[in-house]
Amino acid sequence: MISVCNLSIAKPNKQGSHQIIERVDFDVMKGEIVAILGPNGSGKSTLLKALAGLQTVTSGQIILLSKDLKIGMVFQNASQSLYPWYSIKKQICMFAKISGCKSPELSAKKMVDLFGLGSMDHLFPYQLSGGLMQLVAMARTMVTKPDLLLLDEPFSSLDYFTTMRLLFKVRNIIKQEKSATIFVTHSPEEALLFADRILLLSKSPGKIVGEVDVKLKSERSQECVLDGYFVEQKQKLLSQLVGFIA
Amino acid sequence: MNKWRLEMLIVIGVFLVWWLVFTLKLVSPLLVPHPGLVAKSMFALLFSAKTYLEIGATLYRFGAGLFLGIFFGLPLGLSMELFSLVYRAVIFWIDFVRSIPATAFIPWSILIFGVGSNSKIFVIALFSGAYFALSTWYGVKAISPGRLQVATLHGFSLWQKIIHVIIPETIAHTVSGLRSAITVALVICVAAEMFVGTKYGLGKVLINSQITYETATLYAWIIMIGLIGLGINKATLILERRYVHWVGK
Repeated sequence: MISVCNLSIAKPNKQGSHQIIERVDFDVMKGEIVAILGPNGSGKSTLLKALAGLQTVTSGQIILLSKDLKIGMVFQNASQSLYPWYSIKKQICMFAKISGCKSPELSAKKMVDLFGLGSMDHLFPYQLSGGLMQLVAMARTMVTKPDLLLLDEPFSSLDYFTTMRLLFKVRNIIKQEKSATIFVTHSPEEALLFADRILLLSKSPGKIVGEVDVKLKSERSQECVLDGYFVEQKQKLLSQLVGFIA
Repeated sequence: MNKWRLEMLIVIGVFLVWWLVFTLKLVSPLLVPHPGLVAKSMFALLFSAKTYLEIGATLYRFGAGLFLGIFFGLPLGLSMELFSLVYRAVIFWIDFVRSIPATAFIPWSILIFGVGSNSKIFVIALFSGAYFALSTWYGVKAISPGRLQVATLHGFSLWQKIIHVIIPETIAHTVSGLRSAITVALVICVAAEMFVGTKYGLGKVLINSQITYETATLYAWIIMIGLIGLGINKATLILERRYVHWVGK
């Protein structure tokens, strides 16, 4: 679905330029969920913005399967990206309509039900909790049926239990919709539970220094955290992350 | 003590001080009349058809000027942020106009538009438009980049971005600009009506009462103008809570 070849990103600063991302290569297939795991300042969000076309790259290539590929992105802080002047139903419907959906009302209703937002679709974003706002942001993006879904630390502002509840729900929906997904996080636990594959990004400048094929069952649940494989991988990833900080 | 009780106590206190000033003859009764006399004048004004002609004339000029100010100020403020050329072309003139007291424009406006309502409407539109354009511009500048990036990424056209993101996002600032524009418009309107040639209007009745030393009537008109201003501001707040419900949340 998307191939990233030798991608480098630098941002200008007082000394000239600061390298954010250095020679990054990876591919993401249709229906695959890839997590980019790295410490703060490793350039994860910048990389995601570059994939969305919101950040200019210094060198390298981002090759999309087709020119008409639909990209959807969910930002870190849903309260800063949702439109508080529209009700949940209206903004999901509007996104469906603008993305060219033939029956936006119907698609919006389906997505609202899928995310369990049916009883509150008349509410406005500022009337919701952080977790529900994040769900609305995802539903609003998913209704556009993106071929490539970019998630920028969507669970970072939520507590542990809300994260666990949403994580499995969103993963199931993405698997149903078969969107290629790139998920940025600094939590090894979230990466293991949410993704099919993890790319480990080093501290600035961000380089891919490791790759993990997650060998947990596709139908993920809370029980996975008790799995020996999960515990072992989580420890490995944590020690690598600690190594970057030290 | 709740807010209403406190406000009522302050109003009663002001009237008490006023009554004391009159009773103790601290100031000539010609300058500060008895509160009861002012209340009587106010009562007489309320039951006079001419009062409503005066108020109607002022509200017409105020409304027309404010409408024109918003009509031109809103697109101007939006264009100032969207197109740098517009910003460079108008920012000096907006700052220049705002630096001149509005009343200084009135004699010139009368020369150009005559003594009728048009000269007053023009000055109100000019100043409320300048305030409105600036607050809209600040509003567009303060737009959350995340909301605009989401729109860009999901294929919104420029027009769709303006309608669905930029205008609602700037409304917080434009509403505060609207409140400033309303205050400015009412001040200019009443001041402009004090100039010669005005047939009906609150500014004219104030000047007439002052010239003829009808101080009780003058006080009654001042209180009435205050109540009208207060009413307009309260109505704006109610409309804001009803239609711009997301502001400040």
